[in-house]
Amino acid sequence: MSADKQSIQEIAEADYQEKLRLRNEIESYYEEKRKEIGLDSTKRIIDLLEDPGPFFSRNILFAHKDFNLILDAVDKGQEWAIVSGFNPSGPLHFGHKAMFDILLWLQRTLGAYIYIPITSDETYVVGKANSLRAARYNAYEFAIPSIIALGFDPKLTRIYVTSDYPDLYNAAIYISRFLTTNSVNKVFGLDASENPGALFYMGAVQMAQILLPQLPEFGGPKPTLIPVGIDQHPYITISRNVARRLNFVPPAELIWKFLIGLKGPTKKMSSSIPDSAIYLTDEPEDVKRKIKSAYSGGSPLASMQKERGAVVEIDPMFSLLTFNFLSDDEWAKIHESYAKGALMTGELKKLATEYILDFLSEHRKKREDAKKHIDEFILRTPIKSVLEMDQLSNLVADEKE
Amino acid sequence: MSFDLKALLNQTSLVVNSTPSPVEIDENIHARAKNKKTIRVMYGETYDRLGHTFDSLKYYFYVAAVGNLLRKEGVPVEPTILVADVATCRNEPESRHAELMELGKGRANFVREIDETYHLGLNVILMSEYLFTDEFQEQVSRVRKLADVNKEVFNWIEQTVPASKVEIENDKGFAYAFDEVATIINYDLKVGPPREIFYDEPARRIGQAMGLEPLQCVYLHPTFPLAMNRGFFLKDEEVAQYGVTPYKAGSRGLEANRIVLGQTSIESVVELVNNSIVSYKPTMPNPVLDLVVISEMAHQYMNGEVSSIDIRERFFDKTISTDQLKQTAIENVTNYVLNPLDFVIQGEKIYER
Repeated sequence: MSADKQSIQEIAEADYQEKLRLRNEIESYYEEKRKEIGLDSTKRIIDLLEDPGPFFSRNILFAHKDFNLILDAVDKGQEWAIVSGFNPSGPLHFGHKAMFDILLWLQRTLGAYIYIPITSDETYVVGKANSLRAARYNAYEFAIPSIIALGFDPKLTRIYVTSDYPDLYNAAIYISRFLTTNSVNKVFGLDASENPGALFYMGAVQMAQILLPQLPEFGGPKPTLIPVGIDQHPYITISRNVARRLNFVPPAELIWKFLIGLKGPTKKMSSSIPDSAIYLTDEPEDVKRKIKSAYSGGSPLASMQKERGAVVEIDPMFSLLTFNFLSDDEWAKIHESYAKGALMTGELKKLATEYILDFLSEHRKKREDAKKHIDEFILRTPIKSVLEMDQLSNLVADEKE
Repeated sequence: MSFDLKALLNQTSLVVNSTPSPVEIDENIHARAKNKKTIRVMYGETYDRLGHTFDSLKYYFYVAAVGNLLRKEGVPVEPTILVADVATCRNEPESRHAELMELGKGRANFVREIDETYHLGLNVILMSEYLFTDEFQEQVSRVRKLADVNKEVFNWIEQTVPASKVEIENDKGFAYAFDEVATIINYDLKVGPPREIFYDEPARRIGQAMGLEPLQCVYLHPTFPLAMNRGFFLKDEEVAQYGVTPYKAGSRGLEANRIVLGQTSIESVVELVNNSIVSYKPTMPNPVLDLVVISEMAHQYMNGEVSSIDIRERFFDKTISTDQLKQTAIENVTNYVLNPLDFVIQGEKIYER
């Protein structure tokens, strides 16, 4: 073997070992974090669902708290809600799509009533848009049509752009009395340099969004599920504390794993790293360019990949396919052939490109059509209860009687 | 294919697992039958004050089925239902012992009535009837002596006690554990719920250490409460895995979710069944399926035959709808259990509750 060849072999070996290390690190990260913060594994939920769907069975939804309250409501035929917001700093990417697919699956299989706050105020106060106008434009032009185009049921879905729903701020003002600046700063990592709008948004407006379905206008206290990434768990903890003080049902949470960004497994797909994400508005050429330069779980040496297979768990394209597209049979087949070296990285990228371009072409049409249906989804219910009561919890108690 | 012991041990509608395998149990039983007079089969139960559960019938019927099938082959067999009155008193204040012992007598009599109604051919005994005999006390003494000199055996005795009760039992010199082990190691086949594996395994090792033939056990499907939804089973992992104690109506405070013979009306059975979640998912607790299995066994005994029960397979093959399963459960429980036992209950032959 020549010195050059030996050196390539060594580099490939080191690359492979590093990928294995990353895989183990990421896999143990989620499990350790789950145990550390005292969440339950979703494994037993799989046993109790007739069809656990791809998100539970592929361990994308891997942890929960109080999901039993949701199953309870489903089995008793009682209404329950999901709250899941979207920050309209730009169009949706495939990480967002996966999140909305989870909501959609929960709506279709378990009958969830879904509230989707589009947080234009957040986009502005945290500096992700330079004006409320820009944030609102993103909301109505890209986010809401894309969300509707995914197939949500208008009878079971309410979307609102927070800056266009000022009643929410009265609820936030009311709820703010149940919080302290110290607790908000601690949970959200804010300090004195932060603008007061961010503090008000994170502390009170976000809590109002989470607890909104339990206000009397929306039927009063009910089980509410908040699907989030594990980094958002502290927000749910704080909302559970507030809910208890209001005699509401403390929100349940369902935690998902992040979709790996195109630049590698250590970063999730994120709008703040534009080339880490494929957007639902991307042109085919952009998609091809991004996929071509995407990180891979395969080996730089084809012979090594054929022999050992790819480290599929850290491969962004396999992750994207896992979260977004494949049926169980397809997933098992591709997983096996990619892990065993029968499928090469280039072939996987080609396959992913086809799936993505097909989807985007269809989605583009559906998004345009969805713009005509926005009104069917927009939440406009006035929130009067917080203005008319001496104490919110008393009113809720009265409603129950 | 004839229905024999091996087939009964392999009945997936009833059996969840066994130690050793069904094939080995069958071989061992037949080998033992050649060497000794009688094959001893047992199921033992304690009880509470809340009555006699429908779920106990599964064990009576299964033990009786082992007995019937072996008798048909000409194998001498003693299928025994042990009503553990003394064990029931163990963790109760002394002031209640007399009442509980009376309940035990009533319970044993009720089992005898069930035996008579369905022609089961069971031997029903009370723990108090043998516990104080010289023969049994000698057996206990042998186990104690072995535990005194062999730390490993003592550890096995300790393992038969739930972790939460080790301290209490230690203060009592593990009397209950020694009695329990000395009782079960004498049998050729023990039938029970899956949770009993926790004390059957140590008992098996102790029996072997004493040079006895290894204890063999068949575990039937766990008993799940009726009319509980999936949220309950997600929250209570232990009940989802092991079920409730089949023979104690008040297990986990869920007596309202059980059928208690002589207490639960047909109307309540209908309500309990209709409010139960029935799923084709085999991992989901399915108490309604168990009702159909038990009442089908009752039906077979009424017709004087013991044969295969394939309802579990047929249900999971989806040849029976979930609504049909519920309807069958209601009809069969009524026709083959509640009505036939009604005269026993109405005639006040059952024990005083």
